[in-house]
Amino acid sequence: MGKVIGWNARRRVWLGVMASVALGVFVPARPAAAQVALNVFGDIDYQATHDNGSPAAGIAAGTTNSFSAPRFELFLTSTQGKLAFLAETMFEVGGANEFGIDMERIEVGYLFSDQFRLRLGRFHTAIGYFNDAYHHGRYFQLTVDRPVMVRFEDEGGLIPAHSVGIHVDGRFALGGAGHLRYDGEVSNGRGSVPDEVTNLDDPNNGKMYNLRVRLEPSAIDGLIIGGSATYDRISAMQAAPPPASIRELIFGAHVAYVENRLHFIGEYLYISHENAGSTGVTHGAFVELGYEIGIITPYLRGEWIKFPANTATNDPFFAQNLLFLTRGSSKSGVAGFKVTVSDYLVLKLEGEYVSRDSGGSIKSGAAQCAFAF
Amino acid sequence: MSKIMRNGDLSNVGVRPRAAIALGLIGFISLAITWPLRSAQAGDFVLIHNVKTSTESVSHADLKDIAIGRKKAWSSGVPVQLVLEPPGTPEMQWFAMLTAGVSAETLASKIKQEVFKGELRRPVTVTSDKDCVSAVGNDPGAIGVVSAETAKSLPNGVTVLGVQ
Repeated sequence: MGKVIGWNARRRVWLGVMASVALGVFVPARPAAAQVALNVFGDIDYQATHDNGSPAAGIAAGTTNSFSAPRFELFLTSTQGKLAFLAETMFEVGGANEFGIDMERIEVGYLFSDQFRLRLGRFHTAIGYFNDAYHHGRYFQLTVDRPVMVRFEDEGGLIPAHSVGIHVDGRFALGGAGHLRYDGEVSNGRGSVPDEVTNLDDPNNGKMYNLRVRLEPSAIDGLIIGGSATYDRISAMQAAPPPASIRELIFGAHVAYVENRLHFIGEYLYISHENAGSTGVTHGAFVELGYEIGIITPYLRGEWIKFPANTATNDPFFAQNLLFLTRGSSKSGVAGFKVTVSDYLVLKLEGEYVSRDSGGSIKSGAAQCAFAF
Repeated sequence: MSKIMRNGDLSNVGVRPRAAIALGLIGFISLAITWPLRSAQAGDFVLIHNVKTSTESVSHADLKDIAIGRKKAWSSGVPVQLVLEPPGTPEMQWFAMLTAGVSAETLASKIKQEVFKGELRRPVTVTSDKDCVSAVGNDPGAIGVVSAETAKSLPNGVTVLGVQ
């Protein structure tokens, strides 16, 4: 009996030693716990708007003015070696005057090298310059609102501002000439209606493909010249089934220089929606200019949107777009100034004039207090 | 700064007043011309980095790219990690001027925006040379700023990074 117990005991010791050695060899040392950092962003606004209506477009005249606390967000980041994580959680006021929660970005990234980085999740689509240079925190952007053509899906923007899928990017030196940056994406693409982001289900299973290439010439440090091409197939919901199958092509070009007190962004978009033999082409362009004088940055922006003729027939997807329904084809101008009170707070005051091609105009004034802590 | 001021101090030169004034003017002009260069490059502060970056020196252009997230990894593939003091400190002012030729506040704002975009890793904030050396030693891709005096006695694994 005693011999048996001794054997079992020795065996247990040997097994324990072997397991310890195996664990020591095969299980990596436990890394230090990743720390998650938190920032908060948000803004408090006041806006007064007078729309003198457009009978041709069925838009009634009206005047509104409101204070608003439209959004507040939590921004989380963490890194662990080559891994990086970020999440942007937005508390945003919806149509019923109630706050709702939106996950604006969730990204897990792995940095292989300067030439290749992989990101997975929900990110801002690499179309043009503005869309992924400025996110939801209004503190960083020059104006109160984004240019209308690159607003978010639920605000009437023309682009798929958010994508869910895979993003790769990298940057190559071009000798002494500068650098070339690329961004490539495969994602779920558009939903069935313009304000839908395909977070969970891709309604038509077809993926969106997007490529952006940028030149950063060394002769003018900070200058960015780029272009992008996007392909998707949309199953657009219509008043009566079945959904319209639309082939979407987006081509864009942009120039940006945001350095040395100067802020210049110019973008152009060509959006083609081909549906059962008819094609609707929408054009959009804006130029934004500002110059920093101490803590004050005066700015101007001009924007032009041209929807296709007979949009309801030629483009059943954009026929449901909020921008099309409220403005349609239009030209607009914004003038204002931004005051950087501190590293954490900016104030903006601006006026906007919109001229609809269908007749009528919109005049508005806005003030914004945007914070970033 | 005090060293530079002493370089231009001609009060003890035993020469005639006119010659002293001429020399003084030459010294003043030389100082004025070279001041931006001196304040950005010379003696007060230096860049240090973790030896695992496998880099001995960087160009000014690369340094700016590192500071604003355009260059994300060292040639070894290790991710860049900035270790910086807060904007009001001389170290951060020196770093901002050296890398981008801007004020510390302007660079800090740019860094905040690039972190928000996901283009730059959030810098590790330190409040002393000792903390900076320690943080740089703990991260294989770290780069930081310390005084030239501190850089004379760095621990293993941390060295001065040259700027071409």
